[in-house]
Amino acid sequence: MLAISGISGGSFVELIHMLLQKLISFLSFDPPEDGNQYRTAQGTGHDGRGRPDRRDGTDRRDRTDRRDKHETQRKHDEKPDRERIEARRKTRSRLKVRSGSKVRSGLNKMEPKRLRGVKPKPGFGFVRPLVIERSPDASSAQPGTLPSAISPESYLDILTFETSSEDFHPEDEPARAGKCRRKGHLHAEKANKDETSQDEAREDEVKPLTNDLDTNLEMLKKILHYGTNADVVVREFDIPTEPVTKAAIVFMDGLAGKDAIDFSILQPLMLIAHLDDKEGTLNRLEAVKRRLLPGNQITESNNLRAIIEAVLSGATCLLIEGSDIALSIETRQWEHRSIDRPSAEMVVRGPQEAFNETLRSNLALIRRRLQTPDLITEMIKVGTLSRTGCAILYIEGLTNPQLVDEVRKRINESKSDHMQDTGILEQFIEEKPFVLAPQTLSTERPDRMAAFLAEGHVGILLDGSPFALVVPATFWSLLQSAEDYFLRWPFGAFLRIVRTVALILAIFLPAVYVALTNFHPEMIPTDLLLAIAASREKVPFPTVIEVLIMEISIELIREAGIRIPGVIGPTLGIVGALILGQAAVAASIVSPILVVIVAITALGAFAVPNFNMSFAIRIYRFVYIVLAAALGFYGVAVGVFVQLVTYVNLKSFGIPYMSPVAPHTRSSGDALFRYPLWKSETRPSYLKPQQKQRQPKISRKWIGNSHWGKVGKSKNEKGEGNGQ
Amino acid sequence: MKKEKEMGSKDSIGTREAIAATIYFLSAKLLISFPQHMAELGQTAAWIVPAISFATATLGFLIIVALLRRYPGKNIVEASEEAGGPIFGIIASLGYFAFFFATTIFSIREFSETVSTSLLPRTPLSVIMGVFIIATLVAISAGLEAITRASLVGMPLIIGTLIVLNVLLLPQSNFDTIFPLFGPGIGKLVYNGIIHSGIAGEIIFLCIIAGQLNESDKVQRMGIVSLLVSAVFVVVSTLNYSAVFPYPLSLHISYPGYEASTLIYMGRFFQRVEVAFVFLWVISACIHLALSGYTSAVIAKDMLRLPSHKPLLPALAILQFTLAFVPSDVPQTTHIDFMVVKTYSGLLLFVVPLILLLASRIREGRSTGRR
Repeated sequence: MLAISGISGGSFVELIHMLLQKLISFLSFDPPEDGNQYRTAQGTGHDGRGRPDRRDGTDRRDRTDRRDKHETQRKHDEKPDRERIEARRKTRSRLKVRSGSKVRSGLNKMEPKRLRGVKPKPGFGFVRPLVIERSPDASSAQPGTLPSAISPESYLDILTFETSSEDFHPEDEPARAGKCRRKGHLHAEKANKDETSQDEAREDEVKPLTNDLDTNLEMLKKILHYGTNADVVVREFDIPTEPVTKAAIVFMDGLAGKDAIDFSILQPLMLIAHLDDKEGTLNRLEAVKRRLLPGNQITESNNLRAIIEAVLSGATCLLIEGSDIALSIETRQWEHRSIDRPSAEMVVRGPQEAFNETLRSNLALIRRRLQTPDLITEMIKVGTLSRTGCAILYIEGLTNPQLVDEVRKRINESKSDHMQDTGILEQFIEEKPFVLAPQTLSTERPDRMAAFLAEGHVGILLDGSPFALVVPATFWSLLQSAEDYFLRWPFGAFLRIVRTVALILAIFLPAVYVALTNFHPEMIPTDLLLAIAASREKVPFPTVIEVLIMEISIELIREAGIRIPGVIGPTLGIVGALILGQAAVAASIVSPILVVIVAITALGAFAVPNFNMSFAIRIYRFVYIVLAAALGFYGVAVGVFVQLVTYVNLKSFGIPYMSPVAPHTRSSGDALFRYPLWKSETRPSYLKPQQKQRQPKISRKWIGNSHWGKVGKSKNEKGEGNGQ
Repeated sequence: MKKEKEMGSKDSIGTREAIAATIYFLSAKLLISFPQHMAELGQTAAWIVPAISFATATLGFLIIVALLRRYPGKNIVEASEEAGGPIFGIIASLGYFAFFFATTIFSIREFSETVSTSLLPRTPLSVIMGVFIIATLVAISAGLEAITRASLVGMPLIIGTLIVLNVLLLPQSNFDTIFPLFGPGIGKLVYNGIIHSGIAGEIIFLCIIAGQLNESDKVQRMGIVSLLVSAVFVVVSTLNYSAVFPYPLSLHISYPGYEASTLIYMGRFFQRVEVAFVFLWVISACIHLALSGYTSAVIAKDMLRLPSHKPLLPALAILQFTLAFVPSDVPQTTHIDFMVVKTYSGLLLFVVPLILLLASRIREGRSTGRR
């Protein structure tokens, strides 16, 4: 049945969909598949559907049906055979499987009976989109064409169900059976056409170049939609040789630097070029490349795809008559934001540079900090439509190769049309999208990225995104800030403790307040309890409603503050929060102590360095408020347990999320509490780096040998190797 | 032998996680009416009974380890079937299943009653038990790795809680009440300690998960460390409770831990902090229930030769929820738990492994003789 209906592969959902449609078509009104039924309907006493001819008592509608059918059949018979066959093929609702392409179709028995003025019931025969799947070894099928001879327009006409006396035109049969008003079909048709045209474009792109310049230019112009697309510039010129050698450059206006094109390509080739006529074409290309083009990067390509990708990324493509090799010259130059301060990870002590939207400058920022030849940058294209450049960074000989393979695999196998930010890419490569905790770490600081790479992590950058991803991420790394390492270790440790306390307050403080006031008031000191009771005396709402009102207000202020333009944004946020809180207290909507609690909670959320983690905290807060309102401390405790189990079960690229605490692995003591840097001798063992030791055990060799006297005991005095 | 962990491969249980989980399993009984029953058995020497019981349980554990060494890479259920044959092996496995299943049932009831008494007196017991079961179902579904890692993360909590509690109770403690030192007499103490060695019967958990341990050859060391640490916790806490609630008062206090925490007073702003302790105890109870529920599910899975324990979870959860309501009240629950389950579980610690060990040796002797 599946083979007959032409279904190949397909998901379980589509199968169910197909079966439902078959059932509906079976139970409803099934039109005839071809014209034979008309013949049988003539004078047989039946109307072709098994119903008795009621001429002896036949109603007018039946007679009209048969007359229409006779008329249709007559016209059908008068057509030449070839036309009839073609028409019959068009009316067939079942598209046959042809070699090289498989069609999942849903048109079985969807043609309506051609009755005048009959409108189908609502929901009659919902449309199944026509999707053409192209098998990898498709060689005989014409690319981009439907397997049958149905043109898109007539195909559209076929899928019609609502007919009326005005709409029904028998002379158009069998090409037209009504009008379909299902949007889903139209979208599917459009998607099918788009996919077809994309397939056509992709197939054209892999074609090799020819020796004819005009042919190559035609192919390029077609793919780049030259003429329609105003950004594409094609400049044809002559290289002065005897006879003249025709050449052309293709570039995208706005992406390629005009000065570079003028001075590095056109001027040398048009004015300075002196090529010996005796040189062959191949040598001419080589001569052009080696002697006439002063561009610092030139790549040879012999297929259209490489050329198009280069042109779309800002390079200029040079084509020469008689050569099937094109030269891509580096001329990338476009307007971009300069390197600025970080907006989300500001520090007092530390570098003040942040990534911007240009991939190359971001890579340069990292490479300036890791001046090692082992820093590898692998470039991948992501997005079938956008083909955005994506860089995977790691240190060869240090980073676990399995981790690199996993990252590469996930990115390559993430299929989407447009990946414009690492936030989108992150959602495709994370393991558990339904867990609130972020499983990758995003940073806009090149110094942080360099530090993570030096530990054995893998970095991911995307062209057009100022945020880079670091994988794998652990829970503890999301609580760390770059400044922890730039300060002395007691201050860094203190900051970590403050941040941990802030995290706990941000998640649990409102819930604890609700639990204490509702379920366990005996725990509150008596004086404080009386104060709280007095302040809440006039508040008409229960505590949990009060808390929810304030929390939602804070969220609204936070969201609105982001989008208010200019300098009034922060001011409005602060004033609004103050006035809102004060007004709410004055109106006895909330109690004063709750304003303090909500303010501390909001500050605690902001103290978390990672942006994604702060979002998770905001959501967790609401969950715990509900648990506390329902079950008090018991509910909060159970929530903590479930969250703990979820986190210890979570993995980020194969690494347990709570490493190195659970499971316990050897580390340099950098999880929660920051130890002195001179004691951080090993890299995190959960990353399984190829080089575990990052610094020797005695990393301060000057101790004991200080010029101004002995600092501590010297090596000889101690009699040990450890002078620390 | 340490298993090499490949990135992305199925993890196994580390040594620290296994020890933390076992300590939780053995020590969580302090949160319920365990000290009360120790007072019944030992009177003023209530703290000596668990010491003897744990020591006896250690001997039983060593017998089980000796049996497991004959079948490397297998857990106690598989080893029982190998050694005892299909019939006796199944009977032994059923015994283990019954022990852990009963432990889960009574623990759910007791912990729920504790929460109901201390935190939520007006909440229906079924709601409290239902929440417990749902939370433990989540944990059991996540797997043993998640539960053991949660134990490791929570280990500082329970250790800190016990230490803080015992330290803060010192002002209320009167150590004169522990005299006479041997209570009803040494003989009776030893007898009760040996007979009730099942209070440390949860050590069999380590033998159930032996096949999943990272270093399965160190099961003995893990077990001894766990028993030792748990014994210290239990003995010290019981001693402290005996000092705070002297015999015969301690016979009438169902939850000595909770009642003791209500006595903590460190000034006006540090009083009635039992709620904070119960908050931590609930997490410990969830871990304990998750461990016992997982163990019973895994034993059932091995007996039924299923590939996974997850399909059994809903049925087991419903059974446990239903059976937990069978005892009419808390005294009956604790009586059945300690006087029946914990008493006869000593058979699983000693008798059954001994028989299996003998059977294994006889089989080995026969097979050697045939050669």
